Amino acid sequence: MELISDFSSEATWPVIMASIFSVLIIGLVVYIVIYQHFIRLRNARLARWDSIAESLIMEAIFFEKKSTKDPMLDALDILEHEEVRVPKRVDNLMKDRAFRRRIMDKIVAAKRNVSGTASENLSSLFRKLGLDLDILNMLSTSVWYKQATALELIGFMKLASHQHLMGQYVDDQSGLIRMEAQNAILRFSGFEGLHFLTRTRYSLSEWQQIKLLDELSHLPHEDFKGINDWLVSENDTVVILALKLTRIYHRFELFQEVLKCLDHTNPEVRFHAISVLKALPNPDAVPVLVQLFPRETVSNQIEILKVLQDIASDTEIGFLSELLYDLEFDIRKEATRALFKTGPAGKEVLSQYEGADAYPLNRIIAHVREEDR
Amino acid sequence: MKILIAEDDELMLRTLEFRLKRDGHKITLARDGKAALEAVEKDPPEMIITDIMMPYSTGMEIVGSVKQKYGDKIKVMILSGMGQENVILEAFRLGADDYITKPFSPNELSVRINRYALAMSK
Repeated sequence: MELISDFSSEATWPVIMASIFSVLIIGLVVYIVIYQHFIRLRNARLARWDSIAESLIMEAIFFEKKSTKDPMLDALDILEHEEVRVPKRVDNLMKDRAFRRRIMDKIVAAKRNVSGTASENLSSLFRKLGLDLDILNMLSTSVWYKQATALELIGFMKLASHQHLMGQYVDDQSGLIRMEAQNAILRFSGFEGLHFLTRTRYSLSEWQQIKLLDELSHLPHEDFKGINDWLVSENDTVVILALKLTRIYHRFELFQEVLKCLDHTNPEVRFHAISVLKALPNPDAVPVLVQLFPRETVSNQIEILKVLQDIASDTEIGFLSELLYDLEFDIRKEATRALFKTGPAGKEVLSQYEGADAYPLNRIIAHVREEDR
Repeated sequence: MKILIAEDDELMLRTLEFRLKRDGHKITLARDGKAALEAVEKDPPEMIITDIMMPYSTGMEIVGSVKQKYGDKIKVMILSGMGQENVILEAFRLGADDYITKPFSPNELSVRINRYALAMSK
């Protein structure tokens, strides 16, 4: 009896272990099969969604309004506003949040690739599907990146009915939200949108200034107002942006306001003010720059010399000649260039200069002569 | 005109196919650079419209390879993003015939292609 019991316990354990192992393996296989089935179902559903969404988007891209055969009515667009027809099955699918998100992404991606009527039709489809409501929901969350995305999309999809919302975000404490709202407001209002600069409390980063100027570069030039107010703003970055606008759009009438910026306490503002004078060449700036020179930082002094290269005359030869002794190599280089550009008298002074044959001035002069050829 | 469109964005590919088929062109599609070069070998088109950034072979490689082998027999138009001036210049250096920047108007593209078709039929 004892023998049988020993045998059974010895023989049962491996059987039990093997059974457990087999059950686990079978369970795992069943799980993998079911999981793969669900993945296949999900992929098939996504492929079907993509196909439906893409067909609708293509229809929108190539949608053409039917002519009324009356050019006057067409021009005035006073008949019922025609839009892309949204099929019933899309209407049903729009109840699914995942589908809404998918079609929204696809419309946005498509709009990035097309322009003209096709682009306008996509904006119209976006509104017709009620996706602007999703954007409003994103905007009402407290998650900053969702708000920033919503603001970007309002501008990008030209959702004019939500334009009024921009105002409350242009001076938001979050830099990204501010940036998207400011860009969007320019898309809607053009140069007029720059008026947020009058009340902005935060600094405009270098990147944001580039983005704003880029946004403006796509718009037709117009004689926009407000720069003179921004040139005296308490926000230094607003003054810098205003100076850049003055330079880019050649606002010659602001010459006196730019000269006043040369007395600004921030050397970076003064740097940009000096730089603007290159784009607004005016001999009246010369004595001001010469007087300012000794008080300036090295980089601003170099910038002054670059401006003088375009506007200096024989009167400044004495001032420029003295700078040939300066300890800063770049100042000697730019002074040489400025002297050279004043004309024959400046060139004569340079050739008579006692250190003209010695290094490094001999190399600088040779280089400047080469540039002049 | 026989046109090969090489583009990895499915929606863009279908949009271009739809517009150009409507104009009566015979369209072949390639979803990556390798497939585009294989399609050219198999049945050389009269024109290729290619995106710059694609898997396996870029649009630049397609321009270089096609222009080296077929010269002016196959016209190549580059589709590029905004601010890719250097890329466009490089494409012209390799022999590209034309370019269009995204975002573009499908109608404008259609007019340009039809002009090529008209010139080639003369």
